[in-house]
Amino acid sequence: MQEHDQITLRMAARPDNAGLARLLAASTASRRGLSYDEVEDLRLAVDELLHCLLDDTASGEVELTFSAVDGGVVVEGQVTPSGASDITITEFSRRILDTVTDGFEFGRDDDRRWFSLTKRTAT
Amino acid sequence: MVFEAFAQSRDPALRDELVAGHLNLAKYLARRFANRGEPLDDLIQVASLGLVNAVDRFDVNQGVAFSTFATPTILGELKRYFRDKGWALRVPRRVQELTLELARAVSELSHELGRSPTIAEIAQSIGVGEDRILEAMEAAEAYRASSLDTPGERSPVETAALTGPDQYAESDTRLELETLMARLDERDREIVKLRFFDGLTQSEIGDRLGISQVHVSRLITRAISVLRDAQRKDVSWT
Repeated sequence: MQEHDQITLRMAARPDNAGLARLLAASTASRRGLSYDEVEDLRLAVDELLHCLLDDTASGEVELTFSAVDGGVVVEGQVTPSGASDITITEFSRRILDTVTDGFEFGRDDDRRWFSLTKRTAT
Repeated sequence: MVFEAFAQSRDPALRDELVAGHLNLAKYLARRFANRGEPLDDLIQVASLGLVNAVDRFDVNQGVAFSTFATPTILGELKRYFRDKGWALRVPRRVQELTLELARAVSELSHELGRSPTIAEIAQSIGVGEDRILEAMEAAEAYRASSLDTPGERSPVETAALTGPDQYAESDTRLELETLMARLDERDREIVKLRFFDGLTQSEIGDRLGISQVHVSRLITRAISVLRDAQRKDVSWT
């Protein structure tokens, strides 16, 4: 774990802010030496998970942490408040995330929605 | 024959020689699309990308002249360029140009290295900073088809032939995905199938379809956008 190679982003929980999240994810992945294909996968994964969390009922704030770890990148995020509805994910979203990540999870607590995903380099 | 030597060795130097030797064909075909509002230099770059793909895929044993083989490939690249042309957001000219360079560099480096290049390798190849490459990748998000209208829908039966019968365990889920996929046009559906159902990488899809990896990325983004609009969220997790 590279302790200091970590970026935290806090922004309004709006889908049109996803570009900033994709950019920081790509930047972190680039520094870890992930390939173009892998960086594109990570950008897609971040976008898809944000899309799932920031549905029509989402409001408030999203905080994302991008961490460079050995062999890859971990992105953790939380949305506060938790919103009125449960997190929903379609089969297609799940298939996308299964394909482009090396693991992901998400959930909803009393006061937040959260997710975590990992992307590792194949080399 | 240079083509035969290239087929044997896949030597990048031979590839460059073949591309340079047929560049006039790309320029000639690009000029046919001039006066349609796009700079000729851009069209030549797009045509050149088609030429590179044609060089990579040409099989000397097929018994046809290279120009005969390459012309539809180059024209296809140009037509796709116009069809997919259209920036949903205002993107600076320099960034638009960089996305074209990015497509070329990713394609060339992938073949030279035999793997997907890193961002640092792409940046070095183009001669810009890594942040510029990341900026161009993000800008490509704004690069959309001129119309996102969904084409005529196919029936689930038709789509099942593309997605395969055994890939979903639950018939309801399968039907849902097939119905969803029917919202895409044939090429986008094929790309989504190859990426998310067959597990091919963007590079592998680009090689198979004869288009650039960057273009594959754009088409995947566009397809997901169409599918997001179409799908309903029906699986609830607490």
